[in-house]
Amino acid sequence: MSRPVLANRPLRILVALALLAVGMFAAATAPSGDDGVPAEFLVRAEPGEVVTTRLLHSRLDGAQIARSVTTTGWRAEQVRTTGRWVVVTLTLQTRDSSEGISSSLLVIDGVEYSSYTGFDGDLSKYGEGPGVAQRGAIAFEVPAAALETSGAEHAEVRLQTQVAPKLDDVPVFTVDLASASRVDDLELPEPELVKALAP
Amino acid sequence: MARDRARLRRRAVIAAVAGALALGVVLVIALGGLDEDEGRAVESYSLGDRIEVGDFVTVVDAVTVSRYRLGTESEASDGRLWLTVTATQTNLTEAPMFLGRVRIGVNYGSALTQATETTTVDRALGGAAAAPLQPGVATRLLYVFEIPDDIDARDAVVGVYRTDRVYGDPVFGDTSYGSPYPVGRIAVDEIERRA
Repeated sequence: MSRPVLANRPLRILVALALLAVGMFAAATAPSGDDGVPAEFLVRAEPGEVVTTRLLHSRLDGAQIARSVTTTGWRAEQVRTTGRWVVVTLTLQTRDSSEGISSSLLVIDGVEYSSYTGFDGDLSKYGEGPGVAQRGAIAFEVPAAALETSGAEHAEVRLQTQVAPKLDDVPVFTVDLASASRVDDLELPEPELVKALAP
Repeated sequence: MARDRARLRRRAVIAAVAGALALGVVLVIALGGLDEDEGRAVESYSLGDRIEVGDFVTVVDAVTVSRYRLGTESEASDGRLWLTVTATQTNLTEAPMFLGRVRIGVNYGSALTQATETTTVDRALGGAAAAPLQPGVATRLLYVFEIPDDIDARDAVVGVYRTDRVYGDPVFGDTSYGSPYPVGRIAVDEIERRA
């Protein structure tokens, strides 16, 4: 009669220790949120190009810098800043469902600035249905000094529909803010329906 | 022979206990447990001073009492006034941050009539809703409190707190454990009065 393979006590202990070591190794080397595995996929484009991502067709039409922004509509107001407003004009069209881009970012030299959501009539609350293209603007508040750095020449506008997108594509437009036109006050253009970016 | 073995066992137990105690002392010192308790030390500042709290710099610019809320036509209800603390705050990080970890409190009259809740945060010069502070952009904020109109507000003390830590509050005398952690106190001798 043959004995079971693991009948030997030292062998059982050895196997248990080996399994424990394998488990600890697997836990230590498992992908985590810090190593970029679930990071978003950046789909890069230049101003004027139409980018198609999972949720959006989008195009960056231009960028301007202003000391204050004046909103139009029923609650018109002038909003100043101690820094500068970077106002980006965009054309957007959603693909499958209504989406908002209020989580969009402007990145200069690795520093992130979120789009200002306090304006009435900007494009951050874009809510048109699929297939309907709309042109409008979103604004970012940045310190004036950030626009004087070399990083301003290749700033990035990331059109995000979520604060922290994971495993999803995000349109990214590279913008030269150093050569963008500058004005004292900019009237925020109201969103308008335009020709579709894609069928 | 048996006596020697028992003696050896006793010594081993004593050595183990002593070793555990020594290890505990080393751990307590390494983790800062014997450092002076910061919770009782609160710096005094003046209006215009720079107070660094967590990831933000706060400068309290002015304290004002008025019937009409600053920058608006909103009148205080009967028997009340608006007390407004105007502060300029700057995000020191490299990403947008809400001011959730910093709280401005104000005490007026006696220590019993304190108001540590910020009822409203308005963005100055525009009045748009509160938003995350962008990195490096000094932003002027109004902290507005509604207070009784019969109090003597000349002895107001503004407190700056961080809410991610809690401790008893020696600024205003609140020693409950759940109080926000006080960072600075600003005594205001003469509060500006407006219409």
